[in-house]
Amino acid sequence: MQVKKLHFDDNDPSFCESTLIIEDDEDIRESFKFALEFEGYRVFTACNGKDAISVLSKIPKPCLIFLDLMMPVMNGVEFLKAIENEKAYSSIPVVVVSAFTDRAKNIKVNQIVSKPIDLAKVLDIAKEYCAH
Amino acid sequence: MNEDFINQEHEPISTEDLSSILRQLIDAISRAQEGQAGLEEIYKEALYSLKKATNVERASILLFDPDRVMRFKSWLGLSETYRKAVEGHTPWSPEDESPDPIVVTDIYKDETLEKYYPIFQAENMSALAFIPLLYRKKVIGKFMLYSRVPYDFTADMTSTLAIAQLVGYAVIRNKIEMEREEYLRKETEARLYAERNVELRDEFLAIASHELKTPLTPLLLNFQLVKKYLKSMEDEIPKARLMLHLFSNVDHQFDKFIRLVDNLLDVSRINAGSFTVRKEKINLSNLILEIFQKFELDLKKMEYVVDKNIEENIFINADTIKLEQVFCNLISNAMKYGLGNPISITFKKLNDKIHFEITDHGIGIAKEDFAKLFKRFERVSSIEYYGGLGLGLYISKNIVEAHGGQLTVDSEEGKWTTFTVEFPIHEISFKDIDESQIWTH
Repeated sequence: MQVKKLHFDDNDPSFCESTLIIEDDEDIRESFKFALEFEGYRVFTACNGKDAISVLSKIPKPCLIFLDLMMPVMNGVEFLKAIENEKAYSSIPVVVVSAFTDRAKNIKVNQIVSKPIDLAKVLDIAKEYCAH
Repeated sequence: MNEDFINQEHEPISTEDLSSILRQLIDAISRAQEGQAGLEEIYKEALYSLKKATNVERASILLFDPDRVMRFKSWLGLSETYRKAVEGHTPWSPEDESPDPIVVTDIYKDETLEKYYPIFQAENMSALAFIPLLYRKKVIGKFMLYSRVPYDFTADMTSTLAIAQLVGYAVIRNKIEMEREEYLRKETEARLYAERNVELRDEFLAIASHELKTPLTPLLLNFQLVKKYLKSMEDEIPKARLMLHLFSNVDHQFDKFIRLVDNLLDVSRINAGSFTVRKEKINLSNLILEIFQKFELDLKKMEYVVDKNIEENIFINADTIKLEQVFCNLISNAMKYGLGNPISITFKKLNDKIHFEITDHGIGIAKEDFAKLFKRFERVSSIEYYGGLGLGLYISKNIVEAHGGQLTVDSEEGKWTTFTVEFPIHEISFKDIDESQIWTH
């Protein structure tokens, strides 16, 4: 199978292949990360909204955030509110990945994906937002 | 009657005075009925009425309690010692029908009362009258009249009986009222309890479906990844192809599982009024064909012969995923209950409707079960033979109705069943996307 060539040069301004997965369930996080890495994306992970804010400050700006909603400490909705006024982050496209997609109806996100995740669908989404 | 026996100067009461006394008592009873007075006040009023109507100085009201013991409810001029000593004594049982009043003109001449002499002496009593309080001829209690000197109460009987009748009525009215209130209270309690249980069940459904999805997510994701790996190497490693073949029905089972979990979630959404459909213009003919193709393999395996007649290019403004759910449900039901006999599917424009119907020739449904079919958690088929949550048709009907359509059934038990879905043609507009329509059930 053809594995994409990885771009890990943080200084490359055209670099836009990293994604951030914010998900509290470790198994889901790891499988999801693995699936995206398998396609050649660089993947960062965070286990809740608060963790994600801390991760975001240390990594190159991702081209896409996959966001779970129900999480301890800081949930998905709170995370979106927290980065709303942060210029650096508010422009990053967000795809909500949740079993309770109803809860995402009133929040402004780029796309909503229902759990259990359809691999082909999320790969299509990643391709759409991380194209360069 | 010897003049000395009379405890007071007593002229028989005039009809006018008795009427006025009874009127006052009736007033008290009316006030009690309106909730402005209690039984206690009626008893007191009755005793005062007696006193006024008969010049009796001392009187009491006793009623049978539920344990069949006659107990004092109200009294005038009686000591506690006396009440304690005689409580429970009664010449009648609750079963006695319309007994006559008993008048004891001189206690000390009645030997049957001998054992009570010391009590009567201590209470300074010489004459007694027992007047039964009746309801539907049965004894519910009694009036007691007392005199210090020997006395014949017969002269007072007309007034006393009239008062007794009113009190008997008031007591029973009150009892009925209390029982009614108690019944209503219990009924409200039961209703609230049932409502709370339904609420808890719906809440549980929402949580359970979420919790079931959590382990399913990495499971499915990893499964899909493994398949992807295997597919990438199937040309190089022969066993990869075999493994892919083995996995083919795992996909199918995952689909089934997800459908079940989604059904639970849908029910909780419908109940919470948060079920939404997102309409866009779709080619319903193509959608039905695609769904049918999904089932084709299973239909073949189960040796079903399907006669399908699908008119091409019928468009509708609808939620693809939700309608897919409806048609999947109807086809899988036909397979489940069709006993392997031919199935026919028709999709066409009919008059001013978009018309879909599916007929199987299986177990059929009794006419009296038609309404039950579409209720949640209801199932018409026996759990002994057929599985399922009993949600499919309930959800399907709700989805079809959210699109302005109708889902109906017709059947002959043991012969055939037809489910029909109809959408009005005017529902089709060619706007690309309708706003998500919040549909409150």
